[in-house]
Amino acid sequence: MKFLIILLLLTTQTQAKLNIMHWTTPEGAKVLFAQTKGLPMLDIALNFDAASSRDGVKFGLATLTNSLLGTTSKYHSQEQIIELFESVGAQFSTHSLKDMAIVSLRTLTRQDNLQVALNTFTEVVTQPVFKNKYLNREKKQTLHSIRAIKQSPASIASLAFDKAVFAGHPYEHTRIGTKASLANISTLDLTQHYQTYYVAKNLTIALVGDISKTKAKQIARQISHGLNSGKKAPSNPLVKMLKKSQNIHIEFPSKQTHLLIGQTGINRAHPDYYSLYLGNHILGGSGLTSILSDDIREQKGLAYSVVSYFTKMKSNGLFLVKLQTKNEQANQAQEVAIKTLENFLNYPISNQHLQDGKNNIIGGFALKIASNANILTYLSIIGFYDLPSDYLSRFTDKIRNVSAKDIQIAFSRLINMDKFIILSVGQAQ
Amino acid sequence: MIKFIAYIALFIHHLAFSEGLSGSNVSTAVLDNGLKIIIKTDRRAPVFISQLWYKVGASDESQPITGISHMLEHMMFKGSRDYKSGEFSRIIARNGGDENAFTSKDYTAYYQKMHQSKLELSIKMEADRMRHLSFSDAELTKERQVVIEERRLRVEDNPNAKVYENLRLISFDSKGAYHAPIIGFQADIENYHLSDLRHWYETYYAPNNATLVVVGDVDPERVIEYATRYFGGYKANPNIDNNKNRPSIALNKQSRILKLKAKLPFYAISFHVPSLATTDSENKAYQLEMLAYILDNGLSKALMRDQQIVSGISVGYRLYDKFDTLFTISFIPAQGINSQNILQMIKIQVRELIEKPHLIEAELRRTKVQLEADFIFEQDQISTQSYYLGMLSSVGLKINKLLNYVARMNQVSTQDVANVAKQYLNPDMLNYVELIPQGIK
Repeated sequence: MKFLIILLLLTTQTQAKLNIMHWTTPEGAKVLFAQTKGLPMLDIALNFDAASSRDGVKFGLATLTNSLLGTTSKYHSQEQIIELFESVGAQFSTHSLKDMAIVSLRTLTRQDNLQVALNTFTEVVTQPVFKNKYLNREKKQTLHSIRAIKQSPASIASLAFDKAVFAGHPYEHTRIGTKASLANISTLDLTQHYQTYYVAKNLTIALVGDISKTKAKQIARQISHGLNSGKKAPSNPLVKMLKKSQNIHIEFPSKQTHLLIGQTGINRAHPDYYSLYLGNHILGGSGLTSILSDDIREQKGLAYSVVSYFTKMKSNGLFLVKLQTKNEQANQAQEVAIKTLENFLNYPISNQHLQDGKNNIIGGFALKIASNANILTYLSIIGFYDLPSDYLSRFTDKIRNVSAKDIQIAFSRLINMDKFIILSVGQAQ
Repeated sequence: MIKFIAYIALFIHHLAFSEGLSGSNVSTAVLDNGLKIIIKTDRRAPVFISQLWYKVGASDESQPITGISHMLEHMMFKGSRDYKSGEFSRIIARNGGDENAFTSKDYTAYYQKMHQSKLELSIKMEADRMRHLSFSDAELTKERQVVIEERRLRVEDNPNAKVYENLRLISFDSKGAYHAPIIGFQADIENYHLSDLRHWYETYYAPNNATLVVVGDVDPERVIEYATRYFGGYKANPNIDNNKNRPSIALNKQSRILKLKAKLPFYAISFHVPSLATTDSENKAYQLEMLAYILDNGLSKALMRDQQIVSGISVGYRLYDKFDTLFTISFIPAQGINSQNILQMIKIQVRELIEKPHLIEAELRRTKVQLEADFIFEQDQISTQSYYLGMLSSVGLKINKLLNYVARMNQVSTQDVANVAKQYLNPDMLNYVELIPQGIK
């Protein structure tokens, strides 16, 4: 190779193995931190147990509270807040799911930028002011989102499935609320929601980036110090297993039928977690090489996308097989999907499938923690869902020990084909 | 399995290096057969992404074979000389890889993301399907249905996607690039023959029409060694450039009303502008890019946050398109607001920006800081890094454009922004598509 002249002048440092540090702030917030070198940036995610499963009867309250953070704080207006973040190149965002209400910041670690970004972030989260003006604007945006959902068959299907599988549970309703529920939400409700749930003991702080542990401690302390200590939110009830099967069809003028088949799922503490994780990966969680994709897309050309997944929530999420196909062949696709599921439950998967699935997860594990953004998500999940801090380092070993029999037993224990929800959105033939 | 090793001795001494980026961790090489190689080392994690970019996409197509680049992208997973249908994906997967492909207007790209120990496997397999694809009618029959389902999912059942599709249809003449949708017209998708696909493949899938981009924890010498071993034996196709003289042809003052089963109105406007690759002065392209940021921020503040007459608004400019492109503004009117009134407000905002550029001084300063930070943030994903490198190479731009981006944007003044707004955002010339919802049920 003597003719090669490599123009290699600068190489970023090799990352040592991911070292997760964790502690609790004096006010009671859980902190997880991973130092990553090579890029002068820091990501912070504040994960409060303050999302839509805490709405009570005021559907949409949690999402509104979360989205009004950043609109006004004790000392700044919305435009000032936006300008403060922009002036140091920081990215501020909020996001509210069913379990997790997230407030996040991405900033450069250069001291001037970091300090302004962090002070603004702290103020926005710890000293918010909920103004009618912004509540009304946000409600208008939410009503708009509700209309947008009504023209999307995928969204209609997903919300209807939640309603069926989580019936009677705080996960049942849509996290943005309904026209009727929004009308009854006031700034006082937002303030109360904030005071109850945006408290240190109900918070997991995740930090990833090129800062020292000392600095991370200082930052976590600053954020946590501004919050009330408060109480950890009580656990929601577990989602009940379905008592009977349901066939639901929603007529919609789309060319494709969206088909969702599934039932109650698991949480992250489930004893069969790793068997179900690996099993689902092989069944429908690994793209083109999954069994479902092979049966439905590769062998028959019935769909562009077919997947299966567990949403692993605090109170048990859902298990779902999802595909879209032209209306005329919806029944055929449903039959193939059901047949594939039956085979999966009745027979152990082949050794080849098992080994391929393990190899994909184990061999690809380095990819899962290759960026700050990915590590941040893992730290948030580990803290929020009370997973052991060696969750990541033990993950591949846990997967390695699963057998085909384990998968079959775990799925048979959990999935009952006589109690499926089969939901379709499209034009019935 | 290593069938091309004999070629190394023949081709290695023709390796030529060019346009390395001083001050960065990027190396480049060109094989004798014209294959470009770009390597960026990033050792934060023991992984890499390898992307093979072909300079072919929807802009090379016309009826009746629109979408054929995309169809071919799907067929690339359906078997080659050394691998049966589906086996490519299975082997990558069992080696811990993440893989996929994407087709756009100006390029088609394939990628594998893997542990650093799998570099040779990735390059070897990608090389095999550059020249040895199997074409089976049975596979085409099935995959055609998959692509039609993809079109239904992405476009047919998505009202806003139809608006964008129509905006390109009316903004560009069908004899040039950018008129037809990337995925193709349904009638065309239904009718490709295997021979059309084979012809497309044999014409464009050649080393001198491709760029291999590898970003991650790799040794650049190894990348070049493997690329030479596995791609080095392929002959260049000397006729490719003859097929590529099909720039976009601008149409002005066009409009279309779409009455669709939908719940929400939607409105999209286009103006014709040069891209960085086509502009007579590069400054102009960066000024247009800055204009897009400033207008996006300004209109979001004025129309969405203050006046609340739109539920969403977005301004777009494609700096790295290969041909003359579009500057677009799209918005969703708030309930009960007439779209003509919104359009009027947009025109007023643009006029104000043109007449009083000093008003955007603070906004411009903040945008520059934001862009500088975003440039760092983008380094967090190796896929984003390789995406920009591959795209630049595929549209014929030097890759140092990537490193110069922030500096060039920093040179833009408020007056520059006003000038390009005045020159290109001429309200008498704009095209628009309006979606008028007809309700559902």
